[in-house]
Amino acid sequence: MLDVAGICVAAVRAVYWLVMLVCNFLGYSPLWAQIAMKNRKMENVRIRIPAHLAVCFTERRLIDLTEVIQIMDSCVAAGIRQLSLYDPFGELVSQIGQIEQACRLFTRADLFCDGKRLHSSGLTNLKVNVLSRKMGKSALVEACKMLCREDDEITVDRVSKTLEDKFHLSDPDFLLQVGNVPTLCGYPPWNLRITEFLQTPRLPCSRRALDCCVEAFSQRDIRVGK
Amino acid sequence: MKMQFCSCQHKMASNLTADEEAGWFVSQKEQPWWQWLLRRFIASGPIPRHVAFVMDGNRRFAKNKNLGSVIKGHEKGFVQLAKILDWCSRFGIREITVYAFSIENFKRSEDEVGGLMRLAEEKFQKLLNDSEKLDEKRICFRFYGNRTLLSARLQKLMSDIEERTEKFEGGRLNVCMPYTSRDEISRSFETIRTHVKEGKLNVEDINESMIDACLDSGCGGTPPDLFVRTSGEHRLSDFMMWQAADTHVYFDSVLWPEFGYYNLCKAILNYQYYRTTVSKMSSLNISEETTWKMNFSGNDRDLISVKS
Repeated sequence: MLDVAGICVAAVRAVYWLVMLVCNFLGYSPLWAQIAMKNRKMENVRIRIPAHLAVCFTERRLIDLTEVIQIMDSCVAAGIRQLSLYDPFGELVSQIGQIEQACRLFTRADLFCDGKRLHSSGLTNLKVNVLSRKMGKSALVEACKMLCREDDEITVDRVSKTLEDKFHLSDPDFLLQVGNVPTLCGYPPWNLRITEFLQTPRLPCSRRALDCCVEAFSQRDIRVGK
Repeated sequence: MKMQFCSCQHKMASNLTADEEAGWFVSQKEQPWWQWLLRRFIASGPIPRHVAFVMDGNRRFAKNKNLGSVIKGHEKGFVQLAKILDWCSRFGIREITVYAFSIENFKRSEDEVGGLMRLAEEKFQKLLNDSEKLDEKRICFRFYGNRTLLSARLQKLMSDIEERTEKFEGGRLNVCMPYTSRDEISRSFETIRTHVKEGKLNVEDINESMIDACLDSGCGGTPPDLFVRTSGEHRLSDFMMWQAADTHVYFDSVLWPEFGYYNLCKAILNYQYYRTTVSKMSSLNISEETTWKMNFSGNDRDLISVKS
């Protein structure tokens, strides 16, 4: 009887040892160690809410209007002040009427589309900016044309101000790359100077999913050159 | 396996002579069998033509390894750069861009900025002195960034290196120093504005291709196919934002001095896996009727249009 118990214990120890060996070999921490490390890390992290969240769709099949409207609600609940939705395929711009309706009736958000103000109500907590490829390098070309018509020297600050004033483009703190394609798909390049990226397989439209992303953002160390 | 790779890399590092450790070029003679095997396997697929690296993590490396000074970390980072240049050349990567020093880095302590400038002077001087190797490798060196922020001696060294290697076609290394992408784009805008004021250009002719041509990379550079950032940070940090707008972006958690052959292979494999999807995405761009080119010779620049 004792021998059987001893053999069982030895077998469990051997399996454990083998799992650890394989994990070590592949360079992965076992799942339980990852959870423990994550919990310990989160205890010491102060949650930082990004003031400006950007979403970049890298796959057309992941663009869903219902989810987009849901994430606007989640952003209001989480205290995010600005949401930029970049869709290089132009799907969102083609459905802008429905987004505008949702902004008027439910979310009470200010809505901009490709640099134009579509809806604004006095007491809003969220500014939504729907962007297409036109707002990528093309917006910079337009900004360059405007600045070239003036006599003053072109500086970094003047370019930023032109983009902000004419196209409502500002720097997001946090960008969610929705989909599996590891590219920025032509997202307005000027505004990605210190933006933190996170790749996610789906749009985190629920409050819980968005909170997980905000947690990941809070753990990032932002230094700006120092 | 990972441990074996590491030990092989350490072995390779110890095989380097002191001269090689301090210089830009490491030996092309021998490569460990596993590197050779991996290379043969990976090179059977498409290889990126141009790779851009954000060499991040030197200071954390120095701290983690108790090297005593952050400059030691930057020195280790340089040794790693020389090895990566060799590996990339073996893979057939034709162009490499490295983010060596950001304009924002001037905010760091005087000791560190001074140390980095001394290191740059020493390495650039060594490169110029290594005439034999330069002629053998035939790599064209280019410097991107706002050089007016550097000392006169460094500016002279950079111009001399560019002049000396201008005609070389064995590969291209772009060193960004002191650089930020926003500064590069706004300088490009200013070049265009000057041309407009002189009556050489019409404002309505301005397009993406013209801005491209007036960037630092306009003098013979290509947009990167793969953008690699080390040290686990997931941001561009004002590096090649215009050029990498549609590029494959790859983040690795290792610190730059620890970015070994295995990590480079992983990055290239990742590029191969997503290449078709990424190129489909960039094909969504609107094509332009007129393209612009910057003709250059030494410090002379001439913007010309090509109707397509």
